[in-house]
Amino acid sequence: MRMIRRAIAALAAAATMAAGLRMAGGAPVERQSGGWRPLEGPDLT
Amino acid sequence: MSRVAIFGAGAVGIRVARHLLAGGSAVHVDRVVLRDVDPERLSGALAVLDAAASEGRVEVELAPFPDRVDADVIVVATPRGTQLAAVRDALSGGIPVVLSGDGLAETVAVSRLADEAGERGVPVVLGAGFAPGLSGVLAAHARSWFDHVDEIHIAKAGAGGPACALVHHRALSRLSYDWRSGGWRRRPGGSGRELCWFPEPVGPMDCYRAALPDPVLLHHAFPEVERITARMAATRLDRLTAPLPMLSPTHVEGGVGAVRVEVRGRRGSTQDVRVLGVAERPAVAAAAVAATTVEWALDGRLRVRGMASLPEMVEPVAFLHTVADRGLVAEIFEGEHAVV
Repeated sequence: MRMIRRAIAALAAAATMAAGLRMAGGAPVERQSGGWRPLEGPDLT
Repeated sequence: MSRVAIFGAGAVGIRVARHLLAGGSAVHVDRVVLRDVDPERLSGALAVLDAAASEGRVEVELAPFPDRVDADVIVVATPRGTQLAAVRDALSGGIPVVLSGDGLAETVAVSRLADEAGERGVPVVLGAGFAPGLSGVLAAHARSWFDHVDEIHIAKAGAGGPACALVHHRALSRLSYDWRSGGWRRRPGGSGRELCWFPEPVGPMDCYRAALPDPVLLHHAFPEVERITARMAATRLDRLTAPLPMLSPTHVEGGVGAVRVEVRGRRGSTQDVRVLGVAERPAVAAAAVAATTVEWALDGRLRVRGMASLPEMVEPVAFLHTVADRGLVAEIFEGEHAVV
């Protein structure tokens, strides 16, 4: 019985941690190269 | 003497009125009629449009509204559920309509009036906002780089006023419609996560399928394109709460949003991709697009005398130049990771 209780507690703790991490998310992904520039000129190229 | 009626004095409607009354463009609007069911919104609009209102160029109409509208163009910027009736009324009076709605079901419902609009020869512009609207014009512009376009993928981030936020909230829990190889694919909203890089300051955001009208309107405009999809930026909390009613009131207006348009196709014998985008507060952008569309309608520059989406109605480069004068600067992504 004690083992079952411990297993349930461990599962609940793991689920809580996983849910927290899932909701909070990780650090944003940094751009590696490239970028935005305004379209320019009469033809907007 | 030109006269424009604006249905809905929300975040978009008031700004459309301000653009039209500000002058500075080739088309002069003498008078604007603002309609809304909320007296507080109308008094707020009068305060915002103070200078023009003191010159007698602004009229307000509070419900119950008169049966007939005396206007040269009608802008429909009302919440979902009210747009179909407004377009029907405008059509019965033979008045051109600019619709800035972004709900899928209502856009499809309004599109069923296309035959009537065509028979009457009345221009009705569907999706004259940020997305749909400017997104379609960007797609039309990007198309000019290609000999043949295979795919168009739209992504958008952010919401305008409370009505727009509610449409976005519901869209994540409804079926999305993607066009693929000659048929509509129905997929659950909130699925299909894809990391999309929007113009700064929005940057990278996870985007998901949602019940958005962009694929429907873009397929109408570009029937030869084999694959058309639309996604919307959302957080995990947005997806988790999407099936529930909105439990807390929304902000008066959202922050800076963006649209991103990815067009893939062939140029000569090579495959290529172009990614265009615009970052702006969605209500500000939608108002600039709607106001410019109104001016083109008054000037007789719309290409279709019937119902069509914005990219079918306007010449893209000239339209993008005009909205750039209103602060909506289109950008292009260049670099190895243009497609994420």
